[in-house]
Amino acid sequence: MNSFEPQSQDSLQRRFHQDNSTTQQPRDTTTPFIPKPASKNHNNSNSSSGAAGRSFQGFGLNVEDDLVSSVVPPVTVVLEGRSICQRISLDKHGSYQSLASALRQMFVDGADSTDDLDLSNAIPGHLIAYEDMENDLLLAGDLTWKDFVRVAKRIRILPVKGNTRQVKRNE
Amino acid sequence: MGRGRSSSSSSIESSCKSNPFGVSSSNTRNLSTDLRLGLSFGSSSGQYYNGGDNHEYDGVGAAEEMMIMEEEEQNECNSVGSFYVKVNMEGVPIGRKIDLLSLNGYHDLITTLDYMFNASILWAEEEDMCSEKSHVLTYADKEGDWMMVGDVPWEMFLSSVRRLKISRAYHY
Repeated sequence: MNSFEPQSQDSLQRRFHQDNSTTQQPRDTTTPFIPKPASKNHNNSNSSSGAAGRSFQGFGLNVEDDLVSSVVPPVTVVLEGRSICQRISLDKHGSYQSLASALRQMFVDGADSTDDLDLSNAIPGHLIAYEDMENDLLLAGDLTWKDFVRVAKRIRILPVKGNTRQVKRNE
Repeated sequence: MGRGRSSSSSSIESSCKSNPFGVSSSNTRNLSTDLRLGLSFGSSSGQYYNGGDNHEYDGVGAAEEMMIMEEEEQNECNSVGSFYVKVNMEGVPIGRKIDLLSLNGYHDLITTLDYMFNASILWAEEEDMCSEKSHVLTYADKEGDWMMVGDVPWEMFLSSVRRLKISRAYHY
């Protein structure tokens, strides 16, 4: 990893000068924008020349789904009390219901398919929560599925304790 | 409660920015993307020069700078037309997310949160009443200060809210 550090510093300095030029408009992150989709490039040798264009990769309407499916790593699933975790690829599922079905298959022995399955009853007596990139623990189901796939980094299955206040799902 | 996972740092940043997953390209592109977020050079300098690569990134940056960084990253993950913020209630370990743009105003917000957390929540418009409600709704603004919800018009609230917290109300 030592070889990366000087390169990063050089890249940083060059981009700092680029960003400071008066001809370049500062990016307003509060304004929604739709940048043009960029071609997918796996070649690392061209990183410095095409970095500006590639910084918008993944935000094009047509390219986004392909890129998201190729870059989403599998997430760890932790059942409270068990020491051995499992992994699941969220991009292989298209909905919370599909995720609920997969989790039921993982953790409920002799699980049969249920028509009325969702996150709240996938694993009886348990809540499905997740940790996001800020390591906050949140109840699964509030976000749209696509947003959930993007921000969920770890899934935690927690028992519903009797003395804990029940959290209601806003459906 | 610290759950630092430095080994996941590159995955976290790659996934959020939708970059192809790879250590070399991830480093380069993360630099480019972060600079375009409008961070000041002073802040960036502290973070990048002290940390060699993404794996050391989480532990090196100052907490305040990390908070700014993470909030910007969080905004990047919001789709157009929605504005999800996190809500935590004191004493409840699992938080929720709520889309403020799908709400009509403060009353809608209070009603939704009352239902989500099975609580009776106080806010600024009710402050004068002698209320038996046990919780008060507060929000963290852009500077990280906790304010009582309802102190500004709804549209102004939307432009400054970053996070919500339902705190226990102490009347004594």
